[in-house]
Amino acid sequence: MFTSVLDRRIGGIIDRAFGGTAGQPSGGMARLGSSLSSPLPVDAFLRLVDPLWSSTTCRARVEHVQRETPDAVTIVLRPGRGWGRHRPGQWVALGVDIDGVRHRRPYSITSVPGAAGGRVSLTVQEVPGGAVSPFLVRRLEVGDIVHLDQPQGSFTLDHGDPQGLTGESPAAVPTLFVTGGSGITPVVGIIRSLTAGTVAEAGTTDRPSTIGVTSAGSPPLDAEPPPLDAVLLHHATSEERSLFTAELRAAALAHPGLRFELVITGSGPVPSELALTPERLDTLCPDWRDREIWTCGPEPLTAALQRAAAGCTRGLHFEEFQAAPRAVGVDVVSGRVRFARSGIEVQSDGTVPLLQLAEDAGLAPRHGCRMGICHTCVVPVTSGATVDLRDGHVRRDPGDFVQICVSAPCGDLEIDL
Amino acid sequence: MTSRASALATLNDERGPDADGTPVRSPGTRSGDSGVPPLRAVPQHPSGLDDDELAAFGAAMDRLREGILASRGREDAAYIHRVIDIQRRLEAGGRLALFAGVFPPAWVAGTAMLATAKILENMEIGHNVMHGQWDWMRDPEIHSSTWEWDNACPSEQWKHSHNDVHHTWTNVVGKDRDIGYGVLRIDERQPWSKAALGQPVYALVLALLFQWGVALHDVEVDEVLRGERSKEETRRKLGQIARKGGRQVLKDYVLFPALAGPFFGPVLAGNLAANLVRNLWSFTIIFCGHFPDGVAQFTTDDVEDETRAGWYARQVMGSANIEGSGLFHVLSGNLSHQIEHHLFPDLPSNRYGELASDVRAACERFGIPYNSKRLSKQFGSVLGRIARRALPG
Ligand SMILES: Cc1cc2nc3c(=O)[nH]c(=O)nc-3n(C[C@H](O)[C@H](O)[C@H](O)COP(=O)(O)OP(=O)(O)OC[C@H]3O[C@@H](n4cnc5c(N)ncnc54)[C@H](O)[C@@H]3O)c2cc1C
Ligand code: FES
Repeated sequence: MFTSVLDRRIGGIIDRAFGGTAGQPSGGMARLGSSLSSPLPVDAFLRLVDPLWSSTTCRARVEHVQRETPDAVTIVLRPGRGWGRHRPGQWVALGVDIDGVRHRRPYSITSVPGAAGGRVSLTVQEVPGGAVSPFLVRRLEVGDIVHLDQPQGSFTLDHGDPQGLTGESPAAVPTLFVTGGSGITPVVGIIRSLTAGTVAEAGTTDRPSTIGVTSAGSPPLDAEPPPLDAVLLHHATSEERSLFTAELRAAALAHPGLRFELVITGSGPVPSELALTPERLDTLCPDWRDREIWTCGPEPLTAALQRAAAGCTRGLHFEEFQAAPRAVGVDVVSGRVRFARSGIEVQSDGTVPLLQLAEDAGLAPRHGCRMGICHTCVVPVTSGATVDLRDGHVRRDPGDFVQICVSAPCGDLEIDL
Repeated sequence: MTSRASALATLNDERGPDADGTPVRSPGTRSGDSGVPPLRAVPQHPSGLDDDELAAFGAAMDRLREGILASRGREDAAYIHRVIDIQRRLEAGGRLALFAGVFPPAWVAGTAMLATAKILENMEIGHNVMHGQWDWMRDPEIHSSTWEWDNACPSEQWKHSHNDVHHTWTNVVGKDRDIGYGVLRIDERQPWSKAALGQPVYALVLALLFQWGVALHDVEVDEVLRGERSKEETRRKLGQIARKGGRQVLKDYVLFPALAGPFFGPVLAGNLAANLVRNLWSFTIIFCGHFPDGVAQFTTDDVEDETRAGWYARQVMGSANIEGSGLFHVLSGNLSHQIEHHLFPDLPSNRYGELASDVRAACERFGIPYNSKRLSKQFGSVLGRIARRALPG
């Protein structure tokens, strides 16, 4: 407690001295600081005092790792300076060093904005054989330092309009959430903020109270809970592996406007009587056509919903955790790829995304989601063609910016990396 | 003498050097070096190895490289993070101590810390990071594409003159601009003029101002004077140097002394001394890595149609190691393992030590001269050579 107060004091002083919080330092002191530390950024030295200090990227300390299911954990992070407030439903690219190598993967934020102590939580489900999630679930330790980008994504009830200028309070819109597996994470973040203050008060959650309870900027604890009209239809392979079950049941008890329905599908193919069809939606949520539908989960689930919910009148929103399988009919042309800035040349078989090729060659291109949604990774192509692995679209214009995470070279290529 | 076939067999199974350690062939058949005439009319590699032997040597080097790549990981990352952390603490501590520099012990301690920090930053960190030795970590802050070092020389120019020109054309007279840094005559094949008589003095001046010598290196002043470089390019490079060098001067000789107020004198003197120590040290290590007696210089004919294996062999012949303690190796940026660095410029420097014994064994087996001596021996030999080449011949 004391140290964190002290931290904030010192942080405040440093902020004032070096001009503001996130982003580029400004002001005379900042210029002096960076002249003194040149050629390194001031951060390099401030970090000797506070390892979370960074003015360019955001670093965070792992404060708590809580097991949710046999193969999922919630990671509670305390971000250092430079973390921008997120909107419920958004995700962040998390960077971790595994065996000395930096990996970044997107994870949805499950905590409410402005949680106590500025903490941020992510919930990670292990993908067996994966490079990152098994590490996060099994090996991450309290005290580890990780890297965060800024929160991103438009899977938010405010439709990317944080000021709420559309008039209608997001909570008041009748909503249906359809989730599967770890796809519940952005939705839990949304529901926690819709019900903020009341769930943790109910005392039925086993989560550290820092996650559910809000501080400044969120509805005060004693305020009337906003009107709420939401149905959550969650699919999990087993009760044991289902995330947040106890908390969501408790939230549904505490909120007449929230209904939580858990569907256990068993492992293996989904039984036909549980498959998402208009009839099944009619049974589970008769007024689904009048609800705004938000879905996040494995591709078969979101695809089934897309087919089933064609009659929805208020809009259907998706979040996918995994790049869609390579589109059939994509041109596969092998060739040489030259990374112009580094002069490195590699062979491409025409199926591996440029981001992967660059990383395998030891480069570290900027990127976020790795699945073509955030556009953090765009780089101009100097010469040659690329193919978008999602839809087979071939681009040939020199100077065209391509998303290297979902684009493979189509023959010989030179790119400004 | 062991037959080539058995040497190849030994190399191909992974057990390591020949049990009896007999060289495959005797060293010293470099053309122009001994009386042994080349047996064939086809141009021979300066190592004297024939194509098969060279290929086998190259394969052995490739295997060593693979071994490091396969085992590169967490401990190596921890090493560079630790060195960077120590370097920053030394720099911050040194600068703080120098503020109390009116007290002689504080001045000595502060200067020593700052000098060590600058040496570590330029050699074990900056030089090696810019080689891409740590790019595999994919840490954007410790990456060859982003690192700017604590030196007047802009990183971009260093990466060209050093990584590209010097490491490709190692010790090829007329190509490798590191041979004498464009001011000293190191090899008898470099033309002699009266100006060379002054070279012991030039060497001293170069050593004292080494970072500025390095900074101007990529401008290629001699070629500019001969009109072989475009004005625009030269202007761009000089602009870069002025900005980078200016920032360095501003920090060390204006801002930090000014911050000390009435005590600016000791701070200024400490910063000057630290830069000077770094200059002398890096000059010494770099010159000992390439110019002691016994290290070969090459001609452009030597490298015509050179294979990767031939390039490997030339790297060994064109470099020299300096023997010393673990701390000495770190402070020399592991350039004391110059041979291994030249063979594998992008492998993490902390692994050169373990590579050295394998490389040396392979060189002995193939009869490729492997030059490794104490600092005093190598440096004495460099000084002798600079003095000798001041005279014609
Ligand atoms: C916007 C967004 C938000 C996300 N939020 C979360 C979250 O809150 N919690 C969470 O656990 N994950 C989330 N993910 C998924 C996460 O980013 C990783 O993809 C996942 O953890 C697997 O990474 P990995 O390195 O372990 O596997 P990789 O080494 O990348 O992949 C290994 C194998 O698993 C397959 N694979 C990759 N991801 C998945 C997946 N999600 N399901 C099934 N197979 C997969 C790959 O195709 C590959 O064959 C999100 C992804 C996106 C794009
Ligand atoms: S990394 Fe997000 S679009 Fe490529």
